[in-house]
Amino acid sequence: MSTRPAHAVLPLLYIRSRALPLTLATLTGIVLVAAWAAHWLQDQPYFDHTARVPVVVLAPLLASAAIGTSLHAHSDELDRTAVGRWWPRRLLHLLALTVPAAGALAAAVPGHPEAFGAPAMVRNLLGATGVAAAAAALLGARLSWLPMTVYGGAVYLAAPRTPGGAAAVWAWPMQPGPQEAAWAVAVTAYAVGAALLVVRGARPERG
Amino acid sequence: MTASEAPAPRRTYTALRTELRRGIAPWAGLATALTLLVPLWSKAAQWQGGWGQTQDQLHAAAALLGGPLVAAAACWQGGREHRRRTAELLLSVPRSRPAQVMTAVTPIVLWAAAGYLLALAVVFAATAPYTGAGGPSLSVVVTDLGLLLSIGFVGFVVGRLVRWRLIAPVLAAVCYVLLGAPGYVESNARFLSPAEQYMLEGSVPVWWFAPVLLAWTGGIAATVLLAYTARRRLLAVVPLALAVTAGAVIVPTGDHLFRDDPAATRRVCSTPAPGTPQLCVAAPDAPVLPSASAALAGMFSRLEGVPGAPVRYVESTFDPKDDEAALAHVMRGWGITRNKLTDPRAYASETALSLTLRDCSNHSHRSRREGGKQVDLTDDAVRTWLADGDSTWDPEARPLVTRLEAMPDADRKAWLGRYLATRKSCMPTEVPAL
Repeated sequence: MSTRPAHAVLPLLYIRSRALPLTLATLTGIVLVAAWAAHWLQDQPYFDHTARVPVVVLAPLLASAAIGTSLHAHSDELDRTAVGRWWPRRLLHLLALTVPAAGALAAAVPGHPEAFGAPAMVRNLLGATGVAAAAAALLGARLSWLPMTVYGGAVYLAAPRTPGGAAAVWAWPMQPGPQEAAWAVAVTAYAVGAALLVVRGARPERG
Repeated sequence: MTASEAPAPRRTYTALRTELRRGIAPWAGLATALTLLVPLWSKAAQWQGGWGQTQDQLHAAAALLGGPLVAAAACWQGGREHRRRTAELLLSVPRSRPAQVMTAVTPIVLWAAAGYLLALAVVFAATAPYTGAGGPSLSVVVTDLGLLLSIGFVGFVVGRLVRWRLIAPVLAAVCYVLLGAPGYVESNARFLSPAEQYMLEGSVPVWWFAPVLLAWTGGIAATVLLAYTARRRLLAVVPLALAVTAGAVIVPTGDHLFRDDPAATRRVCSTPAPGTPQLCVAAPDAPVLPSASAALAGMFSRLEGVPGAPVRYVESTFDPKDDEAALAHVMRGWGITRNKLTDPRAYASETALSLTLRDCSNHSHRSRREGGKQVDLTDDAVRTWLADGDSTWDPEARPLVTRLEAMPDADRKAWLGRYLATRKSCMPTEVPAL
């Protein structure tokens, strides 16, 4: 048997072993529900674009949970015996899910970029996915959703009504849009999370 | 044979004790406590000092954040046997399914309840030193605990049934939406959501509020649990009927699940020094009185000896009578923090405004036009002078303030007496000019 077909089959095997089609279907579902919910919330009487805040916080949280849990490997010990380097595959895996998810979620909240619109959505997705990736590397992929869910939940009620200031750093998911400090935190979280994941891989799990 | 039967209950408790100490259960309790305490701590100014506000905030955090968190934790616990591939091993254990399920889920809900009670103890200890009349509502505490326990049981069964890696966070999100979404609708059906905001700063739940809400949330949980574990699954119809009955009571009752808080409708007045007017607020706000008196001392000294000056300043909800005036409206977190006014000058200014504000919306525009501008300027000048304000709203009123300041004391008192006699009048000709 020649090696050529095996090379062609490898990416497919990777995609199947990480259940990526299911993750993509989940992400699609999240985007569709987010688009509908954002539209519905804005249409309520006495509500404007700022009413989209639950969607802008919750949808990236769920998307990051889907991306984080997709990093789970059923045969981690076997994977580590492979000759090829893993880091390009891990990086590609993370980017291939983050970029389309960010694009689609940004399109789900059209208009008014300053009041919980597309920029806030992209920022929150980057930050949440970074935290999820870091959690996958440190806790394991199956529980990677936990830190961001607890943090996001606490910040959701704790954030002050006025944006900016110190809150732009610790309550970055709740900033309406252009706050630079929130962007800095989210991008740093993504960079650190991605680096941890790419270097270490998801932590092996048993229970 | 008694000798072989005796160890059975002890074994049950041994398993429960081990489950209580190991695994994610203690972490779930810690996470619940922290998830409640962090948002409450950051909003302390909005609740410290008022039992109603404290319970409102704790209830919102417990239902909207604690509920989904406990559901996710219990769901994760439910999926444990599947993840560890011990589901088949468990089938070989000579214990009934209900007993197995209860042993696995009880630690999660007990720890969650402990986390909630810890948060409650901390928050109550932080608010108690600043509170006035009234007290915490046990009904709300019991229903919040009931929600956390119920949602834990449901989450566990979902985790057992659905073998999907993402089910725990998705369940948390679904619970959040299910609990929070009814808040967006106007209909009475929103009271079915245990996360509904209750406005406890002026009302208290009726005595049967807790039993009905517990029957609703507990009934749903018992239905799910029995349908999953019981040998005779039809038994689940009994709690389902109970839950439906409770729901049928809650929806038509709606707002009437609450009655006016007698403490909030009772007014408490300060004992004034001779020559100064009395201040009256709702009983729960009584600790604010010293700070309010200090803020208004300057205004009262300017009005001392003025004939017709209000003898009493009351909270605007008490509908001031002819010889009374309304106090500025402040709320915890907006104007008051731990019973101290955060901006006493603004408070004095707003109280002076309520004294000089004329409600002339019912009068024709014609009478407002004829000399109306002059009356507005006079009101503005009196308000600024009374509150010792720096600037008037309208620059044209500035000379009037100077004129008022320059008047001899006796003349000013006489003029203010005539002015206050017409403070409710909408006829510009009746209001004395400066």
